[in-house]
Amino acid sequence: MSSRIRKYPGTEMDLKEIEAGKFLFSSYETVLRYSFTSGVAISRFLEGLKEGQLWARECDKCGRILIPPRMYCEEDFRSTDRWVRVRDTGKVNTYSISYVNNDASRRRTPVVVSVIEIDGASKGMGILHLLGEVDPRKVTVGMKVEAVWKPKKERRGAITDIVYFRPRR
Amino acid sequence: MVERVEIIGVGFEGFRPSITDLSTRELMYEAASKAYHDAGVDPRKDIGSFISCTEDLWEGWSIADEMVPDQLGGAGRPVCTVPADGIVGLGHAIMHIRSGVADVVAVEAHSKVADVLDKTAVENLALDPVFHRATGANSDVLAGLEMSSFMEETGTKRGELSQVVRSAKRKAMRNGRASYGATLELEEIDSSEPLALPLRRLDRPEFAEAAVVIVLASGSWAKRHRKDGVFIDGLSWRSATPWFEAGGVKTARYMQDSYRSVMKQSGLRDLSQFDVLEVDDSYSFKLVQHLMSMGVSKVGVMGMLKEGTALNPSGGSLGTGHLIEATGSHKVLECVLQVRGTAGGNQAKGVGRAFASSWRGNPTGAGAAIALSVGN
Ligand SMILES: [Zn+2]
Repeated sequence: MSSRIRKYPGTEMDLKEIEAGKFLFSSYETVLRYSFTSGVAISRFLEGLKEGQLWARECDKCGRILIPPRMYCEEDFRSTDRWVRVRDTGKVNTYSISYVNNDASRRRTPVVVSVIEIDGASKGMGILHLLGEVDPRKVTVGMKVEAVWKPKKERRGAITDIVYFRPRR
Repeated sequence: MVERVEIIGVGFEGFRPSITDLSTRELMYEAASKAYHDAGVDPRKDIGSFISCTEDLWEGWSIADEMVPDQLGGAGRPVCTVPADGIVGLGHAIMHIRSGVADVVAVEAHSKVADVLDKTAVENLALDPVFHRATGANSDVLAGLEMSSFMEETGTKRGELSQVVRSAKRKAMRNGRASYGATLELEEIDSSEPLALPLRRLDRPEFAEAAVVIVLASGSWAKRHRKDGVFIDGLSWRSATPWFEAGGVKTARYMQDSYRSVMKQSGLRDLSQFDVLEVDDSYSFKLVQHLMSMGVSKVGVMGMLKEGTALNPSGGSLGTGHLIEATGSHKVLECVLQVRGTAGGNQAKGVGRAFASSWRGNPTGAGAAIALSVGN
């Protein structure tokens, strides 16, 4: 309803009526399960995370160093040429102070989500991650950051092997 | 006079039960690279439109369009997905060419179905929620129901369907792209594990993974660039109503109508005018039903199974594996290789015309057909 419209035409339904079974619905629940093949590029990237390393792919034609790595250059449509180890530092390309979880539920304390341009990769190449050990109000675009890794024995070959990025010390 | 459309390149990768080394994107890139090399085109300059045939639930990725462009050479270019079988994707490409959207179009289709851990859960989402899901009738049960009725109506015997399976598995033994070749005795097929009787385990294909990319061009573009293409003489698809219970299984109307439309477009009379047929065999009885829907008698079908390689030389879905949305693309690929004389172990002699058809699987009544030729 709005300030102009107090009642829409038709029959209104309220939650109590629905729960009481006054209207008939057919409901269905399912569980979909997938196990995505990581492939050549992402497998190597994930292996690197276990070692506390970030790996990118370089294209000789355009000279770009791509992270996340891919086995093909989308601009030149050719296979990329070699693995390049890049640093685990970078700068904030963009950030958002988020009060919602990924199931859209509310958070009391915000998380700072950021795209971090990785040092050693081409301009604009980065990964999405969290920022930590920082007052959200003090985050700026261009801020220099570094990865905070989980202890080696806890790393699983997942992007969460990096706990977050924090302002560079 | 509408412009003729040609297939100027094909490329493929995979054709294994499970591809564990390549991601979906890498698989697509490998197939696309080969297709563009085959066609002699640079996707960044020459291709005006990119189409990927993909279904979000099989991908595990909603709005799968977003994961398509880079590996096809379509970054920043006109890209779309068609949630349908590969032959329908080729139909969309023809529309893009004839309407002037593009002179050259790439059509990709793939199966990365081993990534889907519970395939039945995805198949069940295709079923009507009120009638079918509630009764626990999955797609194999629907196939069992249709098979039972089809056998009754047409007098088809278990042994005849076992011959369909044996023929497909045997041809697959000579096809490097087939994952499920076998030399089987009829008795082994007759008594394979019951799924939903009369449907048995060997009546349905196992799944396989592959990517196929097909490059199409307008006749005038192909002539200007001196490409020797394979002509698409006709292409059509039809969808029936979604009511599985609508009855009448002797004829698959989607196949009959697609076929008739293709024959009209091609100016041809009947299937005997093709040197190679790749007809949908998503279940053993479906091959018989589809051929009968296209005017072949039951006796004629049984005869075709005995005659060399002209019917489903690839080994069909039963021998190659079910490739979900790439099923039709695989059949077209086989036809293109056959008319070029490069199909491998099951190459038929002197192939000038080839025909392929596909069905989208239960519970749909959606099918497609295509006629191809060279040198006329
Ligand atoms: Zn490049």
